[in-house]
Order: sequence, then structure tokens, then C-alpha cells
Amino acid sequence: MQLTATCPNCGSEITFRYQAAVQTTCEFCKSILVRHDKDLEAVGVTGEWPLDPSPIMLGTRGSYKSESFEVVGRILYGYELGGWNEWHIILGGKSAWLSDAQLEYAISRRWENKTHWPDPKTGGNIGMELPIEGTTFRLTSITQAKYIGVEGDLPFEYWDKAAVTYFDLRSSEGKFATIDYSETPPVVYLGESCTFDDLQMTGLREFDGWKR
Amino acid sequence: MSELVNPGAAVPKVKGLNCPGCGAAMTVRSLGRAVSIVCPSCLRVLDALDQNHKIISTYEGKQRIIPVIPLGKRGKFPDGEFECIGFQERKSMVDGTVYSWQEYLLFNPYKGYKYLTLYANHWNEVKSIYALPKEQNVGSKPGVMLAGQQYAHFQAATAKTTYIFGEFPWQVRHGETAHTNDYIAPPLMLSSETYGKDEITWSQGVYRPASYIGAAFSLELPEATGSVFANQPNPHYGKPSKAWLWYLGTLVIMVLMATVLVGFTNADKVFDRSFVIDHNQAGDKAFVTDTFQIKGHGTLDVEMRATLDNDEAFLGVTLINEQTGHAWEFSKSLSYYYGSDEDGTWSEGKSNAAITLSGVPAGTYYFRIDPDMEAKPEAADRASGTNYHIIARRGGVGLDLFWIALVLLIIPPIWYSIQKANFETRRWLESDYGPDSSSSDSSSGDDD
Repeated sequence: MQLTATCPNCGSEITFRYQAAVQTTCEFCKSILVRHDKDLEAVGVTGEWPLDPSPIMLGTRGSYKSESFEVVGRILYGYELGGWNEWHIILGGKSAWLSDAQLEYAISRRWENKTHWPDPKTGGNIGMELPIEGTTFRLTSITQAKYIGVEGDLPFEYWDKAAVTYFDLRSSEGKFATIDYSETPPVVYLGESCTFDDLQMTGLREFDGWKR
Repeated sequence: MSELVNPGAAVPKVKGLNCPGCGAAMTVRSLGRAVSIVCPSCLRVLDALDQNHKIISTYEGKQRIIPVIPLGKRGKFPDGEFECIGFQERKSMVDGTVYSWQEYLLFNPYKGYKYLTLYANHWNEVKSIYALPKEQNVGSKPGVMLAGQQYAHFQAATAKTTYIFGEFPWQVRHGETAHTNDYIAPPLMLSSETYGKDEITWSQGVYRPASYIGAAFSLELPEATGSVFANQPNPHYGKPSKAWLWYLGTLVIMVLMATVLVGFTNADKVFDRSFVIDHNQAGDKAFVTDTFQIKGHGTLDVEMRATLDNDEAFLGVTLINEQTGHAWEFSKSLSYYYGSDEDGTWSEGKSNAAITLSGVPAGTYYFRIDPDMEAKPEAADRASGTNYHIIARRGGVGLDLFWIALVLLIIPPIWYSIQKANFETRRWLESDYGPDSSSSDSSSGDDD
């Protein structure tokens, strides 16, 4: 059974792709809607988005390591040299993230931890080693990202954000970790890079003149 | 309505804009991902993210470079179709020599980017990698390890961008420099580029022959000749070991065949006579035998036996071809002593000997024999004389051919080994570890 609601701003019907969504957007009036039990509160409007080149869309399906996923929402970030998408996916029934950064794809999950992380302003040195779950990660970049917009169903409230600091960590085995300083204490995501072909996606955007 | 809220709509294939520098019309191919774009008319680099497309850098050179792969051309690769959207020429100075190479940026809206590098008709297909290689020495050279594969450090350099054309998903500008380090495991190469202090990017290249790239883009591309590229696979790789293995195998077979043939062939007895050394005869005891025939071509086994009783004899023998006068001269010492002491009986010496003469052609032969024995005071022991016997047999198999074959067969493995080593020498000549390199230090690229 599909979970539906009515947009408090324009009255359109909202269909949730993710039953446990905390936030969604109205596809017609672009309102950002936060869920309180059965009611939705309009907290803002997604701004004008730049030309969006990601081949992934809401509703895109695929599989990762023999678990299937559906794309239900996204956060678009920008930084001085472009932007990247964090697509919210339901992978094997659980919330996960599929990032598309200049068409380099990665799947990650939130990692619950009690570790003390370096201070975002003063504690990060490129090349420093940080062990996470027995893997040695090295800090490869510190990014000041702008929140540009949201779309679809998210597992938390995420809107009207200021600039966020990200620490990107990589291992020699191709694993990566992101320390997201948008919350205190910071949130850590652990994941792995993958290729487009690995994800076996369907329901993708079409590009004129290009075959999938 | 924006692209986002109408996600089913196809993104336009190309977007047009005008150069703020010269007003020329420009085409954007990478569908909203371009960060830098070059005006095809005035070659200025523009900020694709800026609404007014502000100018980032200006080309100071005069010459236009015509890319081998035209922008907009698509190539078919095993992992999909990719369109050439960007072109750069970069230069580096290594030990006082300036090297320049080209980089082609290829794009597919689903699969992302890859690059092709071109230097002296040597191509590499390159992708950026997400994993971080681990530093690990390869023998005495510094190196890195990635996914179980060791890569040996080849060269450190500072690369400078000297020509830009097309569009890029990152910021490019004329004169931008990056610190590069190349590590090789032919046909693979790992390269790191460091911009400024912080950002290190890693990419992995696979050496591609020009024919491979030419087939992908339906272009006629010249093949690399005369030079060896850093990660070019050694064409002799594996050949020496294979050749040595063949040699060993052939050797075993030949030895077996020779043994069998020699063992089973009835050796043809051509000479069999007994002689006596007369101890009463004084002076030179040399004499010549009757002639005898030898047929065919091959070896001659000569066996000498003497009847000795605590004595020794010296036989100087010459085989002489009656027609040609060609001679084979040899001599053997025969001895036999025996007795008994507190440890029991003992004996030493050998009363017979054999010799094999090779390359003896057919013909009429005779022996000249010069027997000699030292005078012995107790001459009574020798009775009237010492008997000896000479037998000559035609060797069953001409083993000369065997030895010739052995020598000839060893040539290919040695040749392949030299070729392989030569190729490696030429490869490393261009590296930081060649004989002319001023320094093998991995930071030697600083001097640009």
C-alpha cells in the first residue's frame, strides 16, 4: 500500500517512496515538506536548480552486491568547482546513499560511532591516518560544500543548511569514509566506490543521442 | 519548469553560448558538467559555472595544435561509447630535456570520464582511481602497491599545461603546474598528480597500441616505432623462458636419442690386431700397420688393451688417411700394478684405454704405432715380450651433428634473453633510474 499525503501548500497529492521518510518535497510546487505524524508542514521551497546532468532520477532502481535498491530522494551539494549528488536509496530495505560526483559512483551507509573526530577547522591535515573498523584511512581532501537543494524522501530533516565541512578519507583497498560536520558530533559514512556497470540501474534519465 | 521537477525530460544534447572575449559561438558537450570551457576561436579558457563566463586564462602562444582525435568524435570502447570533449598539451622538464605530450578527455553521460595520453605515438587509456595506493619498495626502487600489484617508481616530474581546447569538469588554466609521479607495472601505470600542497589525485593507465585507439575512433594512427614507453609491455616477455624450456626439452630428447642410437647400432669393426713389444729389440720400436677401409662418415672408436703385470706401457698412435695424408694423433699410458700389504690385496692403474675420433671420413687408413716401455732391471718379469691389442670401430652415430645442434639450438634462448634485457634497458633509460639521470631521488622534478 502506498503512503500518500496532501501538499499543505498547493493541495497536490504526495506519494512517499520511503515509508519512514522524515522529509519530502512537492513535485509540483517544489515545497519542502516535513512530516509530523500524518500532517505535512511546508518549511521552505527548493530554489532554482542548475542544469542537472545526473543520469540518476527519483525512482531509478538498481542493485548493489546482490541487494536491490530504489532511489527515493537526494541532496545536491555544490562547491567551488561544481557539485555532486547524494542520492538517498533504500538498499535491502535500509537507508543508504549513492553518490554521483562527476559520474564517479559510490555507495555508503551511515556508521554509528562514538569516536572523537578531528576538529573540522584545525584538526585536519591531508595525509593523516585515521583507523576505522580495522581499516587505515588517510585524509585526502577537505571540502567546504554548500547545500544547494533537496528532492524527494529523506531519512532526516535537511533544508536551509549553511556551508558544511566534509573530510574525505580513502583506504588502499578502495574504501572511503566521509566525516560530515553538519551535525555535532559529526556523522560518519562508510562506503565503497563502484562503477556504473556495477549498479545495473534501470529507469535512468535519457540523454539525447546517447545509448545507455 | 526546472529539469528536476520534470525528470523524464531529456536533457538537451548540446548547449550553445557565446565567448565573452571574442563573441564566437561555442558548444557545450558535457551536459551541464563543464567547469572550464575553451573558446574555439580565441582559445581563452572561460568559467563555465559563472553566468557571464568570465575569462580564466588566455593562451599566450601563437600556434594552434590540431588534436589527433577531433573534439566531438566518439570512440567505441569495450566499456561503452565515449566522446572526445577536451584536449590538453602538457610539458615537463626532466634532466634538462623538455617532453611534451597530449591528453584527450573522453566523456559518456552515464559512465563518466576517461583520458587518453599520447606521447611519440604511444597511447595510454587512463581512468582516475578512488583507492589510495600504498607506498612500498619494489626491490631497491621506491614503489607503490595497489590491489595486490606492485608498481615500480619510474619518474618524477613537474607537468605544465601549455595548450587547452574543449571543455573540462574541473578548472583548467594555461601554465598550471602539477607535480607528477609515475609508477609502472607494464602494461599498467599508476600516476599521482599533486596540485598545490594538498590535493593528490591518482589515475591508472593501460598501455594501448595506436591500432587499438585507431580502431575505437575509426582513425588511421601511426604506430610507435623506435622508442620504448614507460609502461609499454615487453614484446619479448615470456619468450626467453619459453625458449630455454624448449632448449632443455630438445636437449633431453636428443641425449635420449643419441644414447639409444649409439647403444643399438652395431658398431662396425674396421681394425682388430694384436702386437707384441719385443723387449730384446733396441731403439725405435715404431711401425705402421696394414691399411684398412673405413666407410661412411662419422666417429672412430679406438680401443687399446695391454697385458701388464706390475708394469706400464706407453702407446703413441697416429691414424693416417692414405689418400689425403690427414692424421689424427693420440697417445695413451696403460699401467697395471697390484700386490698385498697389511690391509689386504690392492691394485691400481688401468690396462686398457679408449678414444673417440670424430669427423673421420671414408677412406683407406693405416695406423702408425709407437710403443714404449721403460727399461726395467728385473726384465725377467716381462718374459719375452708384452702383448697389446688395438681395435677400431666405426662409431654408430655421428655425434658431431649432436654437438653442432646443441650449439645452434642454444642461440634462440640466448637471443631472446638479450632482446628482452635490451628492451628493459631502453625502457629504464628514460626513467629517473637511467645511467644519465642526475638523481634517482623521487623529488628530482623540482627543478622546473
